[in-house]
Amino acid sequence: MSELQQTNPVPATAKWKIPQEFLTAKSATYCALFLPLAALPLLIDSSFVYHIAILVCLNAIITSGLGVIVRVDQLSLAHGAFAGIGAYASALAVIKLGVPFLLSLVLAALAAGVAAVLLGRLVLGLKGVYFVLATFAFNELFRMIMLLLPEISGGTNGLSNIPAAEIAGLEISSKPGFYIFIALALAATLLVVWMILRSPIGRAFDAISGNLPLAQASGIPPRRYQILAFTSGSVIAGVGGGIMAAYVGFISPESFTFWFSVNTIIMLIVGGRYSIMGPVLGALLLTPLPEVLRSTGQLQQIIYGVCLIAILRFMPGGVSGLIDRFAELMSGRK
Amino acid sequence: MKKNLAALVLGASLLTAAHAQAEDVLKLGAPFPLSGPGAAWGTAVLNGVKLAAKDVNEAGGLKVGDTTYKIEVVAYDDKYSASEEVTVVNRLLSVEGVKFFTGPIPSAGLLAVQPMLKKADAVAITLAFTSKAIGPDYPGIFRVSITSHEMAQPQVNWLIKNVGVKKVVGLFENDETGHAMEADTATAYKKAGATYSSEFFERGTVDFVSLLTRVLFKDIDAIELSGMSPTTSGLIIKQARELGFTGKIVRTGGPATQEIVHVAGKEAAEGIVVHAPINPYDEQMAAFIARYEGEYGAGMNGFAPFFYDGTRMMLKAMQDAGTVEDPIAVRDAMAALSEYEGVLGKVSWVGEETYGINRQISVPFYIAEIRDGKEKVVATCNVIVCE
Repeated sequence: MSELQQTNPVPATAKWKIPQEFLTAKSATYCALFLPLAALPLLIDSSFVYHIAILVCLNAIITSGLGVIVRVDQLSLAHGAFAGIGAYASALAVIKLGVPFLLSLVLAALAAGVAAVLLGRLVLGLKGVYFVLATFAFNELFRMIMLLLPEISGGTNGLSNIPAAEIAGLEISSKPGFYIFIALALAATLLVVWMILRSPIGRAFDAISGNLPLAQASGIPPRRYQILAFTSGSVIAGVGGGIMAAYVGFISPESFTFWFSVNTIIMLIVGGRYSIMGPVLGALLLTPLPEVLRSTGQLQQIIYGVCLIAILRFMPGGVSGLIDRFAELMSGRK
Repeated sequence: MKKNLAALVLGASLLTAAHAQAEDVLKLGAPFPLSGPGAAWGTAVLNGVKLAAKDVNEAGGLKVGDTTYKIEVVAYDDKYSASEEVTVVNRLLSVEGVKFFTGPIPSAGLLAVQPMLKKADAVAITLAFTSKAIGPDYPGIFRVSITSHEMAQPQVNWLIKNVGVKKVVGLFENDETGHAMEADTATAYKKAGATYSSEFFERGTVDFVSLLTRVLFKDIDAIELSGMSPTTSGLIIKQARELGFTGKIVRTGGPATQEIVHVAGKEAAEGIVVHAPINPYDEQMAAFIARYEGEYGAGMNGFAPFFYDGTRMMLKAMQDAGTVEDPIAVRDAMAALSEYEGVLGKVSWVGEETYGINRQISVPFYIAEIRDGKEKVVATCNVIVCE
């Protein structure tokens, strides 16, 4: 925490103290919740529990990216495409060029970032439903292009047998190894998002989302910050896609349909879209849920839908809203 | 006191019996699409697998060496999605401890889990149409369906000669399975000298009016449904007939007659020429169909007997190998089965020339015409010719 304060350019004014106090109460609750949960797969030591835990972390990373984009009041339906761009960039770099895994993730971030800047400059002037539609179209465009370029993307056959992740000559294809790696990657992602959102940049995001004309009048250039948020979020999705390719070992254009984006949105809304921990909570709740319901066949869709409606009806601020309330009660602030 | 003691002894013996029984259960993994557009196939093949397990269980179980096993089918829904398939197969391998799989059936799903199955030396049967489904790299995977690669050319040749189709449009789902079938179907029509073009749509689409309107403008005399989802085929037939299309509708891909008649209705389905993997008038097959319908109270999809025979062959291979613990021995025993007497007739494995390994099922198949909601076989085929 102290290191974070040192790297933060904002002086420790009275304004900073309030969020810090707020964070302490919340972070204690989150630590009490997440640390035992994070250790759980290591204690149970079952391959399937590791698999689900890895998927939770992966979904949480990708959803965190969307959480940043939502901060500037834009809902992207192209998140699947950016995860796909990252996945293909990373997988192709490893397969065709023999690039090390970590470097392939940097390339995934770069590819997603460049695509996001280009798309962002084109569509971020659009508002509301028009932006949603434009990003939806981009997601479909990406999928179609991948289908039409079989020599690069493997076409409908996709890319299979993607080499397992290797860090410093150490293969982390084993589930415990990959889990530790992805848990650390998630922690790093959350830290980066936290740093962005607690910096003046994050406050500019909030200003744009809160009152755009006022933000403009205060000298905040909205386009620049919107592109920044869109790019940062999409870069996170790209890195998530790269990790996914290495873990699953198979990607195809069908892996990144607009349903991918829709599922990410659902996780964000259920978890809490204005909380840094919201994506983690959303992924934590909705990733294992289909496993519980899987053997119910056709019924599972209905049960899943009812669960979603119940969560949205009784927890409009998402699960993080509930935890925030609990933290307030614990700290005596009612 | 005596009563209590007796109860205790009875309870203990029951527990012991239950324990002994629990030890002798053999689990078969069944990762199938049980919800969404692929559910019709998933449910049909699952029923085929369950019927095979039921038959073995009712006959006293599967005797392998000195142990008799009760067969348990563990079915999970893969939602026809590659990423879900990874999770489901993972769960079956590591939580359920399954070594023998009666799926997956979607091409993308199978491609995604091939390395995982290989790593576990698992034995699996599939109907995935992709040419990469079977091969020397994955000796544990057996394909128990005849794909468009095997059946497109003889069927198309027969259609052009006997039904007189010349200008054809093929409709396909825009995914791995659809593109694999499109390649084989387009090649077959072009080779047979027909004027042919393909159109793709998204899997799960229900409104085809705009697509069909565009297609019908091409002045065609036949629509080819190839191996698309059964319910989707029914929807397309219904909407094409409603739009006034009176030409031929043909389906050279997997079986779907029950679903077509159910969705499109008898009237719209009348005269449609379909691929039939089975001959329902064959005595043995007719008995199987009657048993299936009695068991599940629904018409049988043609893939069900393939999975019935596939499962029975896998179980036979375990007996031949004398083990359920060594999947490699079971795999080799399964590959060695030849002229196996199944409900499909004599079943063998071929494919060395095309795929580099004999893991492709070889059985006769048929062309049928739908008459009053039922299939009437009009030609019997092998991979060379339909007569």
